[in-house]
Amino acid sequence: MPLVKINGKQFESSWEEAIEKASQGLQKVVQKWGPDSVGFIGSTHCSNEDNYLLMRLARDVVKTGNIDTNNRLTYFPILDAFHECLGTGSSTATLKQVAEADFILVAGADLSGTCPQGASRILEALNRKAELAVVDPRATKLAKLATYHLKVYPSTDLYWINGMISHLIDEGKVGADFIGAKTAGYNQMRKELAGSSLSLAESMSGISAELLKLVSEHLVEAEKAVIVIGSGLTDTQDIKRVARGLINLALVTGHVGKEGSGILMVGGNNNTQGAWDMGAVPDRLAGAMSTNKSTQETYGDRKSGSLIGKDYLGILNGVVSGEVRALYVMGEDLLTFTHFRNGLQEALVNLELLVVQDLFPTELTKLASVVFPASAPYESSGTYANLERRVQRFDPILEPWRDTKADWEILSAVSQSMGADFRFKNVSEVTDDIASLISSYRGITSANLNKAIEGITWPPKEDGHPGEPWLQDGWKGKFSTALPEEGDRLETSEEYPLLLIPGRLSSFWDTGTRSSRINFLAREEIRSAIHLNPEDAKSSGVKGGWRVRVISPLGRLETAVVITEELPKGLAYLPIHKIDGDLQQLSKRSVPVRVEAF
Amino acid sequence: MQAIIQKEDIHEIVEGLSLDKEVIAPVLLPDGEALYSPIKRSDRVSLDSSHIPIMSAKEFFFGSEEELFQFERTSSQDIKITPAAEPKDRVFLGIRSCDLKGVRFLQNFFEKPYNDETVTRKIEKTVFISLGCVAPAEHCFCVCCDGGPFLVEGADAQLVDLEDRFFCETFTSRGEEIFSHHQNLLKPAQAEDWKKKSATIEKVDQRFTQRSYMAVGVKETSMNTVPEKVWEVLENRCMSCGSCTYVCPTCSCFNVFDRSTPEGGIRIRTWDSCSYSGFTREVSGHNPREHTRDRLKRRFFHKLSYQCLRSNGRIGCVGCGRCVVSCPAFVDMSTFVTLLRQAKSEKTNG
Repeated sequence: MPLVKINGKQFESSWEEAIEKASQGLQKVVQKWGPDSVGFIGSTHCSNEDNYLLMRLARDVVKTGNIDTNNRLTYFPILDAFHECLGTGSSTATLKQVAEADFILVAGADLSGTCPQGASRILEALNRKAELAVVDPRATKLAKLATYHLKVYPSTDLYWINGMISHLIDEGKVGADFIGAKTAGYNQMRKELAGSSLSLAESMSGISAELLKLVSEHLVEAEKAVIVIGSGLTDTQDIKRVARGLINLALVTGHVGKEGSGILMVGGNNNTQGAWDMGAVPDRLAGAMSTNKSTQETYGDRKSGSLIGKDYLGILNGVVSGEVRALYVMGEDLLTFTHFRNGLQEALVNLELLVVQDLFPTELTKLASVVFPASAPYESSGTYANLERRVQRFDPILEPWRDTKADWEILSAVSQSMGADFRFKNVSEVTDDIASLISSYRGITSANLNKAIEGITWPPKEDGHPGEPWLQDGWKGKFSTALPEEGDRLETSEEYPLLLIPGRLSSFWDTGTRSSRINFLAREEIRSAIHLNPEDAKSSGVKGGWRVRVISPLGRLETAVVITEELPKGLAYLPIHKIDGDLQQLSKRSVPVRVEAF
Repeated sequence: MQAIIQKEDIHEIVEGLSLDKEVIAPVLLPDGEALYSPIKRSDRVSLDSSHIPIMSAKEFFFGSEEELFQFERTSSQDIKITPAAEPKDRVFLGIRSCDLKGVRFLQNFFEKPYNDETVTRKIEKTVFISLGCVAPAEHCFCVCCDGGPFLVEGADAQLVDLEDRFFCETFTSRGEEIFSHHQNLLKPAQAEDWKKKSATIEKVDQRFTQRSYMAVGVKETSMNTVPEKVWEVLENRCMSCGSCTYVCPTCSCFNVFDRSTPEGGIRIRTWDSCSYSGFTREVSGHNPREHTRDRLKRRFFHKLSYQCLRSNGRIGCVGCGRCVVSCPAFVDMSTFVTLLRQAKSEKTNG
């Protein structure tokens, strides 16, 4: 049953009452404070249809651009970089290309834990005697199988990337024909990299110049090569800048837009790509359409709200500052996802309206004015776009649990109740509406998806076409500025001798709203723990299994210790699935810390 | 009994059986894969041996999640226990040789020393009509494991595909009884049928492309001489997903827990997996098989070593090849044996 808050207490209500309360609450805030006083948080766990209707509620009904997801802090900037530099906001290859590559460079991705299908394709390539280079500070399983393990010091990615590029330029090993025919901005980039070198790369990143030289040469010489970007790169620096650097590397080595080649982003969630495509972002419209005049017309009269809205942190900051007075959240527990804590909880309580749609009660639903119980993916249907930009349909295998509704259904009802001019009877109609509005999804209709069991890779050439696995003729790459900046490299000190890097465990997913409820998964690994190298544990005076205090300049937390030899000395690893403390920004960024026994 | 049945007549037999028994048979899914499934209508049955069902027959006897009994507190002193319902009479039509060998393996495991009747009663109440494999799948290697492709015992009856007709032979009185109600559909096997059956059996052997030389595996695990290098490679590949153990016809690791109900509770057993670190972690936190390598050693030792072979009466692999298909990381039985042979030849060659 939905819940509505009356006089500060939540009571069960009918669906009609809850929908009315949410829509009237939104209307009241819009009338009083304007559309930009409302914020929307979408979810990269939810389907295309769910995110699409959230976008339409925000942009078409409330008329604000304040919409984003927490992937703004991780993967969205990478997709933005792809969009700006390669003209397509997505990976440019499929996993099949990975299996067929001769050389694979994996940067910051523990694929065995976070994307088994990706790891599987790499193992397949290794069986074919492909070479694998893994850039990771940790000795992950994949790093142990790799031909080259580049043990990078976190936060120094642009040094090794630019070191490799300038080495190839200096040696005249870049593919001049490819650069001339398919790219722009090469000379500008070359000038900008004047200060880069292998020796600087070695001194900053800790990877030997010899190894960087070898790997860069094998990469450029390989006939088919793939670069895989993972969540490891999202922890530090300016994510978009690092992504641009890797795109420069892919372009300079000529590994884009060819069979068996490309650059892939392995996101942490099932529908990172789809949520971005659907326009659950503040600075672009659905299908990555720009917010210029002509697209304004597609979206109707925009006078009442901003086209470019606040991003994820902007919305949360707005909640704290009082600028955002109503918040609509789909499928995220803002309070467990602790990159942002200070004052947020109090500010959420003081909102004029907080609407939350989720599968289970969370810390956030406790504060909500309206809680809509959403049905789970296995109880509903819709589509997801995977990391290959392949759109696949999913269907229910269970009846919806008690009185729950699919996210898209709730959003459709709230929009209707606010006088929206769209109406959807079933999820297929939403899928078809997406296909009619978003040009890259044209042809990805429910009828065509029903015929394509393996899905359709966007953009299909024509109706019924399965889509192309790599970038086709007509694309053009753009080199862009990607330079390391003063202060990028995070330093430890005597007071804070360990660099703590955030990460993921294979048994949990995000905040664990779902995964921690599954006994078999929950028993596999400790959800909240700091991982330490044996020597660091010894010098910190702690042992495996102990409860300890982790202190950084930004705050502190209490957690358990896990000892692992996978980590080099000087680094600590913290899974982000549950963080018991208030280290501000800790869950998404590396930070120097010290560890103390109680 | 040996007789010939025309293929289309199988439907009539199935319809007859469905009247008073549960019939389980392979069915084809829309995506072209096959699955063993309880059936009500005979037209769903697919007795085409080129599609090996995705899952083994295990789940019908040792359920992926099954009720063992219910309990209810009736007074402060007493608890009333209600055992799970007695299984129905069943006919398992079209079970592959390897899968039936797997069922017999489980029967042996669950029978002794304590008879776990939730499993064994289901096996006892099932009549098995196996389907000889004339078209093995790419990953099959039952020929190397005494797992098939044809049976000479262990089933109640066996069908061998002679293109337009089945050669049907019964091994037990229960098997004979099934067909005795359909004498009108049976024709005595002629010399030509016998000949064709023998030729089919002979020809099938050449269709197995995958040869896994299991003797090497048995020897090296029994003597504890598997090179550490092999374990290292497998450990770094394995993602501990457990899919090999779920699809394996002989894997029997399980977990037991209670689910509460308003009246009391239900004791439930689910599949578990030796691939999971949580499977062997003790209450103290100590885990005798903490690392993936330890768990893999356990798994392959339990499948192949002489010590286990002796207590199980056969090796723990029936060669169905499902781990080869399901493993995302090339840590399957075939690869294990291949890696062992490679390591051995490297050693011999220098």
